[in-house]
Amino acid sequence: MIQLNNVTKSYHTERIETLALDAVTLSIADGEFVAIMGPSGCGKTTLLNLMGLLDTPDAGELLLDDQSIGGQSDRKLSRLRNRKIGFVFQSFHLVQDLNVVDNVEVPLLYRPGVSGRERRRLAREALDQVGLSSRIFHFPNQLSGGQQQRVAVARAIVGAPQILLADEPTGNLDSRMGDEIMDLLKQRHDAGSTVVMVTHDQRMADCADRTVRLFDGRQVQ
Amino acid sequence: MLRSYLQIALKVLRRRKFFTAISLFGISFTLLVLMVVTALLDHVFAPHAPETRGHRTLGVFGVSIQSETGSGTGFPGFKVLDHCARDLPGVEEVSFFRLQGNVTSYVGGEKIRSFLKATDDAFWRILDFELIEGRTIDAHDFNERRQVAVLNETTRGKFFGAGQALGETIRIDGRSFEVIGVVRDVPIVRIVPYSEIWIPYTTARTEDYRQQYRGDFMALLLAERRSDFDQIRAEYAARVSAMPPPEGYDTVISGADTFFEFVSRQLFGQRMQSSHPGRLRAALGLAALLFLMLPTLNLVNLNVSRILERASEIGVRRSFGASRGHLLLQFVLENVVLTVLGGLLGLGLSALVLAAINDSGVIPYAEFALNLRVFGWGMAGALLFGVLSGAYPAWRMSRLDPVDGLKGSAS
Ligand SMILES: Nc1ncnc2c1ncn2[C@@H]1O[C@H](COP(=O)(O)OP(=O)(O)OP(=O)(O)O)[C@@H](O)[C@H]1O
Ligand SMILES: [Mg+2]
Repeated sequence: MIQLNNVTKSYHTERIETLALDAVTLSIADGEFVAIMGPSGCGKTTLLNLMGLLDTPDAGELLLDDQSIGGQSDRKLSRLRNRKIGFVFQSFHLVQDLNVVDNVEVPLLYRPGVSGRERRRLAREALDQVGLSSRIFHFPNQLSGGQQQRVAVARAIVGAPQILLADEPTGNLDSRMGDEIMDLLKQRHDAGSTVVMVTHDQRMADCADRTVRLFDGRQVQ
Repeated sequence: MLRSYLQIALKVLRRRKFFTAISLFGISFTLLVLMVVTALLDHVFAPHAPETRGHRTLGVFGVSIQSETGSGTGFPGFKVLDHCARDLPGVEEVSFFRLQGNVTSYVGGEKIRSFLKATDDAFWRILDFELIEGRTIDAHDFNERRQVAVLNETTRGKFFGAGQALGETIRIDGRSFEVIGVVRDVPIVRIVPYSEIWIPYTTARTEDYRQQYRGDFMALLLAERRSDFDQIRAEYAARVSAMPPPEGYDTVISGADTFFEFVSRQLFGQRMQSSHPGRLRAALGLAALLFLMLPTLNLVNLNVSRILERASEIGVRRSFGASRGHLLLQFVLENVVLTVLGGLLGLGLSALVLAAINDSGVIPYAEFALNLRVFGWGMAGALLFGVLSGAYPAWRMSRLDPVDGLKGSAS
């Protein structure tokens, strides 16, 4: 379960202070599929980063499985990220120096006890699921945007995480490809994972159990 | 996990060909220089043939005599050695020998200059020369003051070409010596055994040398065991300080040293009173470090400048569970892989350079070679270099906030 209590996050730049999230309280149950919608700049990515333990709130509290995240050590947070969370970033973020299959293996690299062979097997399996098994030795810059997005999805699901956080995972895809990615997310959801997905597409949001709407850092009903 | 990191490191380096190439160039060149210098030092200080018993050999390479008004330092004279270096406890064999410098001979109207050493018979038992023909100087030659000479191979060629040498007579500075043996060439950097012609020192024209405190002698002391070194040193030093100094002086100073210790005594010992091998080692290490400094900073700089470029990668790795420690280890290892590759390359290059030095004849009879010891030091240097130049950039990378990393370069 992901629980946010009165979470506030602001960014300071030289001149202005942006309140990206303003006292957001939100609870996402285990196995729930939640869509997050809202206009650009309303704080969706910020919210996802907090839930993914990539960032810490300025005020308020974040709980993962009833455990408060505040003040945890870097090692503990890293382990949680590694075991529990899979990320699909808004802008893919593939490692340019690594080929497709090595990119997909990244999460498993930091998981102790997974052999090189096992890593390769799981990565191929995940790439199979996103329909990219023919391109595993390509480098990211040799792929189309949609293909890169699918690599990013494969990387997020390779470690079978409990929580899948997807930031506009279908944003760069045509509707057929988009549907395929949605099917993958639903598959993860059916397998019991919690899925949180940011989207601008109402059709996609309709697939979710529930939609959370943000406006200017605030949750709106 | 380490293996995976290594594989990844190699992949990244292969992918970043330009960066890898310029780094490798700098690293291998630096290590090339270090390894060549190491090979030279190794050649001078480590026991090589004919010093096969070097590990239990001490020498007396210098004497200093001092008065209120001044001091004189130089090679030992016979008198000091005769008085203090004979029959030392724990010493199995003792040899005195003389550095006589360059001498002139004429063969068929052509002038030949050769380096000459005058030795006793023990010299040939302590050192392990490779005899090519004949024999070396024995007790009989020495005691009977026989005018006999041992040549090295090259000098035999100069005097006799391909012809017969044994039993023939050569003239050295106007005196005749019978050639009794020929030994394999010894490089000039092997200071103790090196020469081109060796004769018994009892053939000297006068016996003036017997009265000298400072002269042109050296002594070799072959200990029964290396563990006897301290005892030998102590006894020798005690005898020297008890020895009556020459007219007008009040102290005689000399020590029994390995050659390395002797050099440290000359460099760091106040008026040669003590040897400081530790300090010499530290100084050499410091020089190597200073020399490594510039390329290290250069590589640090190169690595730091890539942090921004790699920000997204760092963000990704952090998001998928890499802790700061993971990243630190991974990036340092990546750098170490790079420098060790550079080290291997440098090693190959230094083998070529050393071969070129040997062939060029700049250093007479040079036989510089890479051995395991030099290889070991070279690789240690490469590792140190890798850790030094990798640690700071890796630390910086590992401190990068995951969110900042992901923002840093949206690909
Ligand atoms: N690192 C940062 N420094 C300063 N301001 C930031 C930073 N990150 C986000 N912001 C600001 O915080 C607000 C929320 O940003 P966020 O990325 O969460 O929006 P979003 O809802 O994901 O938008 P989009 O749909 O365009 O991706 C924006 O106004 C943005 O300008
Ligand atoms: Mg966003």
